[in-house]
Amino acid sequence: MADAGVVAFLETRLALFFLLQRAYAAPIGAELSGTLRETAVAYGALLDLDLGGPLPDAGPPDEPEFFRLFVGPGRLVAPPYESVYLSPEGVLMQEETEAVRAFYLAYGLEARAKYTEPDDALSLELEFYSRLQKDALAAYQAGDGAEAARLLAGQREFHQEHLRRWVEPFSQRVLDGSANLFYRSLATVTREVVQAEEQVLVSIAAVLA
Amino acid sequence: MKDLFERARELAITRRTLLKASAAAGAAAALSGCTAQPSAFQSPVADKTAKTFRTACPRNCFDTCGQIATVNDKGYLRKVDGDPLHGYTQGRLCVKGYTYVNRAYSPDRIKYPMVQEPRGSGNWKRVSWDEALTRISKKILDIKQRYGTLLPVCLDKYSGNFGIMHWAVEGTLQSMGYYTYALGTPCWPAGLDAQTYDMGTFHNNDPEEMVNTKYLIVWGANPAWNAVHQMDFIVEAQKRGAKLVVVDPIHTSTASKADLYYQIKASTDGALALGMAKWIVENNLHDKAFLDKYTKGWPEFEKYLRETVTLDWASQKTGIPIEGIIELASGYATTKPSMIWMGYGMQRHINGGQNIRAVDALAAITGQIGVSGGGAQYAHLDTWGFNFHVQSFNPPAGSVGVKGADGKYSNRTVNMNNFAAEVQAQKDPPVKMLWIACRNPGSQDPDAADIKKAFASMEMVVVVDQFLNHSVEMADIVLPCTTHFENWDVNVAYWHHWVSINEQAISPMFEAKSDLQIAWALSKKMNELAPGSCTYPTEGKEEEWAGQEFNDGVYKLFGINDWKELKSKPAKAKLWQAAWADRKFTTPSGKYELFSELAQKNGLPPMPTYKEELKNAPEFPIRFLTPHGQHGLHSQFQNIPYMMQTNPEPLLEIHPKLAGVRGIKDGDMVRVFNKLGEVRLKARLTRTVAPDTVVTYEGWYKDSKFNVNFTVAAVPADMGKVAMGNDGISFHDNFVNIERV
Repeated sequence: MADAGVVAFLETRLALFFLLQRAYAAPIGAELSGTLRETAVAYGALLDLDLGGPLPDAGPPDEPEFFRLFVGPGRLVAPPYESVYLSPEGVLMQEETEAVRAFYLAYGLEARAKYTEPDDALSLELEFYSRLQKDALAAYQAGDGAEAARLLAGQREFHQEHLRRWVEPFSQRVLDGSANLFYRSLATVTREVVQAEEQVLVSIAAVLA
Repeated sequence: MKDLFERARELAITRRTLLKASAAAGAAAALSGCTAQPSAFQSPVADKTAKTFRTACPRNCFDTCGQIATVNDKGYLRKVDGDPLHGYTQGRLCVKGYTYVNRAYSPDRIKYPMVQEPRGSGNWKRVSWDEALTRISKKILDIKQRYGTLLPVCLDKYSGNFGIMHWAVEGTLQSMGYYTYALGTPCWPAGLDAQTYDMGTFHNNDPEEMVNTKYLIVWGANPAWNAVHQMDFIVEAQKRGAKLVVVDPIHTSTASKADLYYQIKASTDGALALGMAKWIVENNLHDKAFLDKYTKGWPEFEKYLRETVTLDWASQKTGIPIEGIIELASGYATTKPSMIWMGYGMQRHINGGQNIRAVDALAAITGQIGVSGGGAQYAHLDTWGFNFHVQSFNPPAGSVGVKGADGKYSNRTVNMNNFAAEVQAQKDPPVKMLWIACRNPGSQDPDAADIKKAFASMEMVVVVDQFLNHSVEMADIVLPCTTHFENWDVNVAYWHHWVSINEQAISPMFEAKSDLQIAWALSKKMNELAPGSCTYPTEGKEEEWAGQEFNDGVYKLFGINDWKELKSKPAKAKLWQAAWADRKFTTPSGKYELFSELAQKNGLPPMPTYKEELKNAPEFPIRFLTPHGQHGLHSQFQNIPYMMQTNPEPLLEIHPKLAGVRGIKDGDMVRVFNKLGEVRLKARLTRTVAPDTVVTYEGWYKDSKFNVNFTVAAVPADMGKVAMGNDGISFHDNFVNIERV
């Protein structure tokens, strides 16, 4: 029997990761950033993290800052790709990208744009991570503890091998290179939430066991 | 951490928020310009198998290398090597070629169509291809309606990609009407005309047969940096006993390999050649049989040499001691076969063409034209006989352009080498829109400040490029273009005699399109908005279009039956070993013309007599040379991280003597200025440059405003019109003053 508190926690966490994914996939407007703030505040309250407090509304979807930071043209302030931070060459489509693709494949997924967009884009990694969370939650609610544990192990491994290793330097580049309050706060939330996963994953594993 | 979940039980977040959150996440992309897919994921389909592809470096370079691109089973480009079956490339690439993987996979690449509002603000946003093409098409249709012609739309396209398929850019504009385009070439036209006056056109020996020479003068070229594969043949010639001489205002890397090096004063090459010719004639070492049989105007030219030219004068002009001139002349005239290879820098002067004619004359006087291991080598276009099918679509019926005497309409041209001024000067009708592709006038054109003005005066500027260079910075819309690993192409060179097919090795990164794909897509949009407004096909298969560039002439020249054979091996043209071996020159007289009536008719000296070099104004006593660097090719490659690491900033090379007089120490910042503008550069003290000259290398550095052309005026060279439509540019007749900042 699923514990209502556990479900509520996992739902909130899932919602926040989905929203973060959205915020890195494309610029979001005021409405979505409001939802993101509410969700971050709630999740932060659970973890004793001050996440949502400073998160202001995002500007209009065509605000240049998103493109300046993450898309270009030109030198990106914070390239949202894992291999830029972890590969010796600092470019796209490196071994890290291959490892991420292999990880997706192990869970029966592949990116639609795998030949044209890097698999290790932040929005893709966050979507994948959210999907594992979503499926784990469904398994937990269905009483399939083994499946929930398998998917949780996947999250743990993905966090350890990928997200944890580069979200920190990525967020730092945003903080060093942007004066935009929304994107600075987004970077902080992302960094804190990904960092908190270290402990959160242990806690979830404990209740699933 | 039980209380984590207990807290969640009394959750602050409401169901409503959660619903909103999951709805937002699920609804995905409706809010933005990104593709409206519910998820970025799908069920896996099988990966590819690892494969190698034949590609070809499409850059504006002597070497036009055949390449092997290795793609792994994930579809990722993993390695780019020289093609071992390409007889000129011989399995090796240059320092730039080896950076290609990182160039294709640079996070800085332009990924999507982007719009900058306002122009020059740096405020970019992503738009869909559909929106970008709609904006462009509407502007074109609006201009056509207002002016009744496409002439206000001006194309500036040149050498950023010399692949044949990139003539689709010209095809794009041509299929919409009579338009304005930048005519000419900044690179080499004065020398092309010089050889045209002398021999009727420009052919070169097979560069691979340079190994046969016994005496090689590399005159104003720096292959150790800019044509590295030629160094193999030079070194082989040296091994076989050839002497290597370098004549250059800069003590280049190539010069460091030479047996003899002459530091000549820039723009005085003709004086050195004439001085040598004088000594050769006076010592009876000229080839009288050749001169009698195959040349026109020898008596007049001989008279000029004997009566006007002196070694004293030549020495004074060139800064080379008389003994040096004699040593060079005697080495050249008594060692056979002897070859001269002229680079393109030496003709970027107001007397550049005339200087090339004087150097050519040395080869004629000594009977070295048409000789294996001899000749006056410059360039060729003998392997370029493709269909240019990508450009073969005519303006829609009823299009109006510039009316000729025969009542027929044609395109309008502006001088590529005076682009900024001429674009702004057009009045009837004015130029209102620029389409820039394979070109970066923002950093490569003279008078960079005027280029900015020209861009600013437009209603719309569209740039197609891979990186945010100085031209893209001034655009309204930038369209991302493919690297040559992401499209099909056909590549030949203006130096070696090979042809390569360029297979598509990987998918286009992000939303990049090739120039051909852009032509199709734009035509589709134009016809959607105004049926019949563009005659270009709206779709096609690139590989098939590559095949359509071939014809029987090309097949015969390269000894192939089908272009697909090139997928397994590049082919070499069945041309000559030595150009002009039959001595059948294509001049009006059929002879080598030491006296050219055509030149005379065009307002030039009929003979290779000396034309005075440009004199500096007294307040700008220093010549500022801005030749090609080692780490980039014009504005390409230098921005790649490897290059930025090894060559992080432009330096000003100054002789210690000049630096001493000006109180400049190594590492000081120096202001280089003239009436036109200035550049600030860090000083590098070196004896490789002359004390009256400073040197920096042109290019575009990542995140840098550096641009040598702020001080360079659009002063024409003396020749270029006959072969290329407009005269060249005197890039190297640039005089400045310097001061420590």
